This record gives sequence, structure tokens and C-alpha cells, in this order.
Amino acid sequence: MNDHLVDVKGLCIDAPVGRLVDDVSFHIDSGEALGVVGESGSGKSLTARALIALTADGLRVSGSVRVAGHDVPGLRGRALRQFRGRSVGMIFQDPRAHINPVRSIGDFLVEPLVLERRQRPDAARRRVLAILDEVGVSDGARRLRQYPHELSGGLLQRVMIASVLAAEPALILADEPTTALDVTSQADVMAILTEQRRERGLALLFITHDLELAAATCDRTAVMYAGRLVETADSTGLQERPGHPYTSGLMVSRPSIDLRATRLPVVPGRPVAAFEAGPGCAFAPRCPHAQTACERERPEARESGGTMVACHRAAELAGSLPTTIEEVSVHG
Amino acid sequence: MSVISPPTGRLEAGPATRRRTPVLAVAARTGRRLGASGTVAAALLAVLVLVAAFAPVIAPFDPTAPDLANALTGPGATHWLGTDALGRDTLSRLIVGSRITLVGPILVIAVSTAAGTALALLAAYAGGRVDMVVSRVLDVLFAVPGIVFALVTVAIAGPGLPGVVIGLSIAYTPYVARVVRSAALRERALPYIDAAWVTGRSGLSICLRHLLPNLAPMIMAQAVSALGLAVVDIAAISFLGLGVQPPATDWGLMVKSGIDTALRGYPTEALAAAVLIAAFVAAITVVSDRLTEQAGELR
Repeated sequence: MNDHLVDVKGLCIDAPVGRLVDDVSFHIDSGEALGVVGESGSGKSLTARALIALTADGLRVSGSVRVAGHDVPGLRGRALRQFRGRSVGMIFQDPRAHINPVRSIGDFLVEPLVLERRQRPDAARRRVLAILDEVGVSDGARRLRQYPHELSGGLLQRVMIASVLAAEPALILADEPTTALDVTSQADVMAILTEQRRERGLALLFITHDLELAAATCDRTAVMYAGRLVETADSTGLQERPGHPYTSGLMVSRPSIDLRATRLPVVPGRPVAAFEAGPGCAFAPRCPHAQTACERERPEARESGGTMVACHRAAELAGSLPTTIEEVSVHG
Repeated sequence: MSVISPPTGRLEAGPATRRRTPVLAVAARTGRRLGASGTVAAALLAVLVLVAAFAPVIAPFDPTAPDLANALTGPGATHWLGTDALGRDTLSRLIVGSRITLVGPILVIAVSTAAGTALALLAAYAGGRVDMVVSRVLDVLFAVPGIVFALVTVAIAGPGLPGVVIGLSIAYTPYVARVVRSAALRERALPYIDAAWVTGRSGLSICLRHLLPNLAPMIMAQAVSALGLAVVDIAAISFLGLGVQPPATDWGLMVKSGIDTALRGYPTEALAAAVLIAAFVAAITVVSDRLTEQAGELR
């Protein structure tokens, strides 16, 4: 099936130390937002980077990655540059590190339009000013003259969003775009990103640690653990009926406004990398529902009703996994 | 839209006020940055540049006209620094000689900095085999002392400034390239280069528009400090008689010709030329130290 905007099948990424991303498959349709949630090192950023062939030199990428009709791993040279410049935009975690410190905001925003789109500098400037206004950057003309160090983190992240919107991509990759910001700018930036994305009908791959944020802003949410996708589901469905014990574990460990708890429940053990996982389910050693089969045999991803869960006991556990701290604390 | 734009604080006033600053304020700020010794050194260099620029107007006598009647006089009222064995005014020769003394090293630094930076960016950006080939070629060049290079090119091109400049430019290139390459490697690994890639920039564009501006302060500091070395090297080659040829002159050549007259009891020419070379190099060194500090603060 080739009508998905992003179609990833069996993506594996190997480093010299071992496998980092293991057999990841997902798809994103035009205008759809997919949230990818996971702990540090679970392979979410690597997966996103594989979509624009931005994996580090020592890594080997295998599997099929198709984005907007392009076979991404096969792109080279000019074709790759055009694909990166026109089809996909990427928003990074730390805008300060990702914008050249010695060049003005104006250079950062206008230059790609002039060089890549062959727009006239004054036309490009007008367009950039309009977009800056749309993403809530006031006094755009002055901002264009300023340098990254003169802007706050939240403002800079909006500039980054503006640069992505200016390129008119079909897909935006957002790699923890709000992690480096304080809570209030986080909310602003997410609001702008969501609003602009909906208005323009852009697809979004949103990477975050924050399960709730992903569920609130994305149509579907995927949960990664140890380089594998353990669950992909409709965001509301995932919130109400998590299909995988790991998803449930994440949700249960959230603090609650209503319940006073001295200790939050935790998922015991530590997260592992894909290459450290045994032959069975990578989550089995930490899973309260693990059985012997889980240790031995790797669970296949099974799809039912638009939900994909990779768990041997998915069918038995369906609907019974807790979603809040209250549910586990009642008898604790 | 209900978006609150965060305050950006006092920095906002920066560029707007900066644009209308008068020349004096700029000079004052530069002075503060350079410190006392730096200001003195910079002033000395400025005077030297002015003297070199207006040399024919300033020089009291024709620096190449022999006047055998007044040959070998000590310092006096007419000839402030005396005359040489052919009766040429030493002060005028120092003033006019400043031109070649200044231009030679500047040419060497301009050429070697351009070539070294280009090689370094190529090596750092392309990496892999390209980097290896460039680095090994640079290693080979390192093995040959600068003066030896100049001697070879002078042997090919004949004595004179062009041969010296070509030779020293080649000799200085690896020093520039090695320093810039390591800085460029560090810079290339920074996230903003990835971000530029993601927007589809080409390699050339990344090198020129992103790497180069970030490396510029360091390259400048490096170039100025190498300028001091180039002055000494060119003076040394002139001293050996392989650089600028008489009747034209530079300070290195004047030290050489001054030594002959010094042995006959007239040390002014050699002393004055040597002191000027030393002062020039010292001034360059002080300014380059300040620039390096500045470049360091920018990091």
C-alpha cells in the first residue's frame, strides 16, 4: 500500500555495539499527527532521523523507509538535498544549538527560500515576516536583524517552527520540541505548532517523553521500548485502554491531582537498549504480567481494530490494564 | 492569537543603537577591548601603515639617490639617521623600505590563510579519504622549514619578492590548515550544522555560510599571529640577499647592509632597521594576543 505519506517497514538501525532500532514499522497519512513516546535511548530520535537520512555515519540503516514517494535510504546528493529541503521539515529539541549563532535570524529564515526556492530576497523576506506573525513572533522586522543569543528559548523555537513552515513541507518531524523550554513557553509552542499544522494540513511526527502531551496533540500515539514499537493506537483509545503493560506502566506512574501519594508507582528495573534485550519480549524482565513464553519468544505485533500491540498476552489483558495511579493505589 | 511574547530584556536595544555610533565611540570601545598595551601596539601598527602608505611624501630625501660626497655620516641635522656607504639617507630608506616590509608578509598571510582555510574546510567537511589525503599532504609540507621553501622558489623564480612570497605562502599553508581543520571538525559536529543539512543546504553552502563565519574570529587571530612570523622570515631572507633586490629595500636588507657600515663605526642603519623589525613584530604579537583572547571569549 503506497498511499501513506510516510511508510516505514521493518526499519532496523545497527551501531557497532549492536542493534538500536529493531524492526519498527509504522505509517503516517497526509495531515495526520503521530506521537512517538519512549524513554531516553528507546530509539525514537533515531527513527525520526532515519526518515530524513540524518543518521550518524557509523550506523547502518536497513528496512524500507518511504516518505512522500521517495525511497529515503536510496537518496543521494542533489535529490537528497531537495527532499530534505522541500518534503520534510525538522524541529529540534534545543533551538539554541540548532541555529547558527553568528548569523542573524533573518539569514536563517530568508536564506533557504532564496537559495532553495529561488525566491527574490524581498519576496522571501515578506513571506518570512508573514509567517513570523502567524507563529506569534511580534515585531518581525526587528527580529530578523537580531541574533540567536538575543532571543529567548521560546521565541527561538517559534523561529525554528517558522523556518519549517516557510519551506512548506508535507511532513514535520518534531524531536522533543518543547523539552528545552520552560512550562509556559512549552504550552505556547505546542499550541502554535498544532494550530499551524492543522491549518496547513501538514503531517507531524512528534517525539516526546510525555505520553499525555503526545496523546493530547496527536491523532495516534506510538509507544517505543528498547528500539521496538510496543503499541500504536488511536490517542484517545490508548489513553482509555492501553494494550501493552509498558504503556499502562507509564500511565500509572503519573502523579495525580486528586490523590496524595508519598511514592509514585514505578516500573521496576531500568530501560534496556535493543541489543541488550533477550530473545523474548524486551519488556518481559520488568513486566508484572510476564510469563515464561514472554522470556523465550518475541511477540509479533498484532493488529486489531486499528490498534497494534506487540504482547503475547494482549488479548487476555485487554481492558484490564490500569491507567491511573488511583487504580493501583486502592489496594496498596 | 492569544500568544504572549516573552520579554527579551535589555538586549533589544543592541543593534538599533549600535548602527548610529560615531567613529570616536567605536575607537573607544576598540581601545577598551585591546587594553593599554594592545592600544599602544595597535597605534604603532596604524602609524606604520600610514607611513608606508605615504612613504614617498614623508621621506625627506630620495631613498635611492647616491650622494658620495656625504657618504657614511653619522646622525646629524640634515640626515637625522645619517647616510649609508653610498650617501643615501637612512631615514628615507627606512620609510620607503617599510612598504615592502609590510606588503610582503601581508601577501604571504593572505595567500596562506585563504589556501589553508579552503583545504581545512574541504578536509573537515568531506572527512574520510579526502581528509586523510589532505592531512598527509600537510604533514609532508610540515617537514620542510619555511625558509627552505622560500630558498627553493627563489632558486626557481630568481631573487626578489615574488619568489619569497610564493615560497613562504606554501610553507605557511599547512600551519593555517591544521589549526582551522581541527576547529572546523569541532564546529561541524555541532547540531546547527545538522539542522542546516536538514533544510537541504549543499556542502559548499554549509562551509561558506555556516562553518566559515563561526571560524572567522579564530582564523583572524591565527592570521595576525602568523603575520609576525612572516615579517621575521621575510626579513631573514632579505638579510640573506635573496629577497628584495637593491636599489629597492626593506628592513631586512637594511640590517644586512647596515652590518657592513657598523663594522666601520656607523651602527645607526643596522640598529634602526633591527629595532623597527622588533617593534613591528612585538606590536603584531600583542595585538594578536588580544585578538586571540577575544576569539576565546566568543566561544
